[in-house]
Amino acid sequence: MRFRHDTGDMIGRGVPRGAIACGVLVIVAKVTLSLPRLPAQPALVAITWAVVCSFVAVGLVLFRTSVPSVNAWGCLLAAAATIPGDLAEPAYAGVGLTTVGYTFEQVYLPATVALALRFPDRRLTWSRRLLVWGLWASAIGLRAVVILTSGPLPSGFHAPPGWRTLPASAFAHDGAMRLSLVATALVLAAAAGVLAAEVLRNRGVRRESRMPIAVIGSIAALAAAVEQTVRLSATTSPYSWAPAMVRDLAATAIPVALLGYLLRRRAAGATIAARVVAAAQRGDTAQLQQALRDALSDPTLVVDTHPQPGYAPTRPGRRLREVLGDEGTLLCVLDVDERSSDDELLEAAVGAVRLGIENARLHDELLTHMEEVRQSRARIVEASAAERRRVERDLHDGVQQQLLAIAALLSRAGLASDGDSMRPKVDRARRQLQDALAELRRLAHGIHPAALSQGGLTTALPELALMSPVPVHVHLDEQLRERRLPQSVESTVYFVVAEALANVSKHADAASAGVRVEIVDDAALALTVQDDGVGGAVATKGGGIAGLADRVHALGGLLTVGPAAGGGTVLSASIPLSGPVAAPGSLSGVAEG
Amino acid sequence: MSERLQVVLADDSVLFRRGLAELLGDAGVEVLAQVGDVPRLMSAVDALTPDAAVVDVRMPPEHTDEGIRAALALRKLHPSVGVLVLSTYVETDWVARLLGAGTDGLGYLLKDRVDDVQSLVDALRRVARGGTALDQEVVVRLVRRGGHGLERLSGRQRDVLTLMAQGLSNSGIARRLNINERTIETHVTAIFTQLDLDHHDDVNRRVLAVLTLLRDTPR
Repeated sequence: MRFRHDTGDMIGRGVPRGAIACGVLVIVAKVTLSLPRLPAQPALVAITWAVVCSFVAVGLVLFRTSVPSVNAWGCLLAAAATIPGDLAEPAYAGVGLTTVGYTFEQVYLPATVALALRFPDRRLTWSRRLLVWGLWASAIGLRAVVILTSGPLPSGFHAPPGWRTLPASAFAHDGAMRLSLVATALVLAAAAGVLAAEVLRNRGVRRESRMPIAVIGSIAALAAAVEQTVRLSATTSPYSWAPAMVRDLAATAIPVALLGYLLRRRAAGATIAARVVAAAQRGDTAQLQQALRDALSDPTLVVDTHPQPGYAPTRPGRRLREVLGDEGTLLCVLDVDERSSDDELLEAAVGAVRLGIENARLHDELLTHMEEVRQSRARIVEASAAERRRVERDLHDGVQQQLLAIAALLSRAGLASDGDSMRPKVDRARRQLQDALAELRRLAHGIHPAALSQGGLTTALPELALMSPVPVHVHLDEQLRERRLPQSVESTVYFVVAEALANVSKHADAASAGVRVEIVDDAALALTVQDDGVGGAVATKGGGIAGLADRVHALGGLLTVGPAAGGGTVLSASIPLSGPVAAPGSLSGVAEG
Repeated sequence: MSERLQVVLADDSVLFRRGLAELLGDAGVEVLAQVGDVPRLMSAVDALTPDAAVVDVRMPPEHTDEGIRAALALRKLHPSVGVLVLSTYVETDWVARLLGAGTDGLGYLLKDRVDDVQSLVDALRRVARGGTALDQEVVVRLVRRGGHGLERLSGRQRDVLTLMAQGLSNSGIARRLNINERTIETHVTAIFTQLDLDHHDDVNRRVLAVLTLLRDTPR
């Protein structure tokens, strides 16, 4: 018998070399390109370095997890998206890079928002994708208009030498600036709302694990939206720097939030695997389905434990995954959302389902085998009791009657041979025959007492007590008068009492003994044989009591021998009454033969 | 009752039944019929009205205690017919049930007693006369168990009670124990006193002495 313990390898992919190279490149580029700003704004630059490094580091960590790798690339992209901001600095105006830098200065917005909106799934939903596109258009697309035009609103664009803008474009310039700031602020606010809704909508582990990224992401998006609005109003209030600071600090916290998700999920992974295995093992399909839904973050997942032949996905965009047992038998089918399903997690969950169901099957098999063995043992005891009864009956009807007929014949010979020389020989034969008959009677009685067949325990146990040299008090349950117990139980109880009373008279040096038989809850027989002797009796291996203990065990019962309270020895046995009962008539059928 | 004792035998073992019939025939008992089951026993007794019936305990169909039940039924239907139950075993439960309602005309002997044909015929005559015959094994076992004042009896008194319970008369007991009848009478009176049977007539007291032995036989 063997239980499976492997739940599949949930974590452990390697980090692609390309990703490592990208990460290193992004950090080097960021540090190098931001050096010109360092003397003027050392603190701000240091913060951006920290942000970039942590995004890269978390991105590389994500490659090693079950989170879809698009999220890991998303982290690297978010880190890289901070670089254009450096290129927008006046230092790069001379080489003309400010045009690219200024245009793509805000590319970190769509990159980070996409990361926050997608994580930890494989792809964005359509509505969220629209938000990201909106950000591209408002935060980047309109910047191209801004640098190609000129107007009264300060744009912050450091034009390279000899840069020409379109003439008479003040309206377009200011319009694009305002539109860009307003639209970006609105989209960011919408993204913040979506992330906040994410927290409110979900439950349990899913909510807990997504909480950090959603909260931090929405704070960052909201702060960024406010910052856009501040810029729009071109205010000169002393706290106008605050929204940008909040945005940057929240952005710094994003990688930490991603790590928090991973840690929470990893902790949950073990619990969820255990839940899936446990639910599968219990055979509760509803529980299994809920556990799988939580484990795979797929609230539409369906477990089909009795798939019809030719089953197919319920609707487009769904995937069926068969769970096969050790011997290739189909255990169940998982119907999952194709877009939200993660291969690795799904395989792990499939492994857990298989493990649980197989464990349950093995457990059931074990129980079935044990029950078969128990029944088989009980049948053997039953058969043995029936066999003893049959042998006694054969002795009684056969050889005992034959010998008694001979006794009658010898008795006649005795009558006829008065004074005859044969008389002493006949008398000797008669005496020997009497001894033989007595011995045979003792033997037959030991095999199966006639009183037990005829009257059950109420007749046989007092008879047994009568033959004991030690006075025995017998207390029998009133129910025994009305009902006969299974033959195997009756004969086992009888021989246990016989053996116990024999031991009492041989070893216990007792003044009296007590036999008590009770029916407990109509389900079991409780037997005690107690004496007031010297005590110290134990059921030695191979002894008479040990052999009877085996018979008691075979009937599903228990037999113990130990010291009695107040000295002496007490033997206790309990035997369930639900054992197999011989079919009516089967015994007489045997005995007639 | 005619001079020759007339009996009906009921035993499902043909071999033993024939042996017993021949033995009783040799001993001067007339065996009117031999049957193998209870219904035939009943009709044989109905038809032949014997002095006594000899009935095996274990008979068809169940081979448990048919003989005991048949004996009690016979005593009820034919009070003039004594019933001697023969058994391969001593089972006090059977004896207690057989003699529970009254001891008149009933006997219980081990089949082994075919060895002592005189005792067997004596027992048959006793039950045929309405007396009682109880196998010594049964009495020995009951006396050995004690209780009900039996422990107050002396060894000799127990011997006397044992023989009395078997159905023997005072003279029979005197012959068996090889002491004179007057001494036996003294013992019997002492036994009745010990067992608190003073207020009954002699025959009843003898019966009650047997019942004393059987009274607390566990049922």
